[in-house]
Amino acid sequence: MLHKLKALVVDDSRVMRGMVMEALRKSQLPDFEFTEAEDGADALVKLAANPIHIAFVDWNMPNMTGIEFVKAARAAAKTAKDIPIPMVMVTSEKTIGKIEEALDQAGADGFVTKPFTAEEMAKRLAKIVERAVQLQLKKQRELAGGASATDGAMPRIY
Amino acid sequence: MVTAPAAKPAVGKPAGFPTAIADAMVASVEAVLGTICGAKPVRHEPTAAGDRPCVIAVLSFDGSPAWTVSCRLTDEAAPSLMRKFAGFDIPFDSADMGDVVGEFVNVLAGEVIAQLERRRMKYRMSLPTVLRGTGIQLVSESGSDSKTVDFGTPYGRIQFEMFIPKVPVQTRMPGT
Repeated sequence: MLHKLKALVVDDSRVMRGMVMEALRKSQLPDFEFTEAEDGADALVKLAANPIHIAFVDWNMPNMTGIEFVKAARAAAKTAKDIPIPMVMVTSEKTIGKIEEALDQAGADGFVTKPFTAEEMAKRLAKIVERAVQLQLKKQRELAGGASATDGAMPRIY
Repeated sequence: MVTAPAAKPAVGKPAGFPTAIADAMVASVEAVLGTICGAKPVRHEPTAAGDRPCVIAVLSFDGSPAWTVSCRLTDEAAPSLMRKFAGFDIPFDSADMGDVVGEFVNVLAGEVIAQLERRRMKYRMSLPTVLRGTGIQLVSESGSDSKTVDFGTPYGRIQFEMFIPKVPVQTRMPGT
């Protein structure tokens, strides 16, 4: 049985975290259970302390930016030999250089620009969320002692 | 012998706020407010701040030249426009109002940077600083280049003042 997908929402704005969560609820993507973080440093702590299947990350935050968080989380996953979770930038940045920095250099899997609608979220995130669902099922089977699913390449979505 | 009076020292006139930046700002406001409100905002002649309570978000752009923008919303316009932006009611006097106006300016700044990049001008945005009160005026230094633009939307009026400070405005950059 598929449980709710555990999503980490990272933004220094409480209101924007609410807007992201509301758009995801309305998007008719799978059901989410949300954990919130107010900057990249807080997000690293929450990621280490909670089972998270997917992260939605703002870029411009105090203390640690979203890109710094993505890089640090990727490095930590590599060190621990974990399968990295899908990470989607949700940001006001929209230049080609920033998109390339996020997707090609930092290792983010998707990019949603603000302002966004629930429909745009659904359209941009469907394949990435499906990948998160597959990872969740894999982890559930591993916990239950079952066979692991094969890992496909993460689709890049912009 | 008649001596000529001493020549008055030349007074440097401001060169004028850069047109490319002003154009990028206007295009960005029209794009973002058009998306949020469902209709292109209408330019108005700038009006004085008045005595109404207002909320002001200030954000700086690091580049050449460095410049700063303030976004002013009165207590009438802010709840209406921010309800449209956020999708839920936010009381004017709440902490969330400062939060959401800062987010709105952040979204606008992203569009401004993209518009400036099309004009071959590279910038980074600061984090926003938000103030709330009555009769607040951002006083740009004498002689600094500035430009004010006012827009009307179905949800109220919004005013932007852009200026190039002689001494960079101290704002917080992301990651710090």
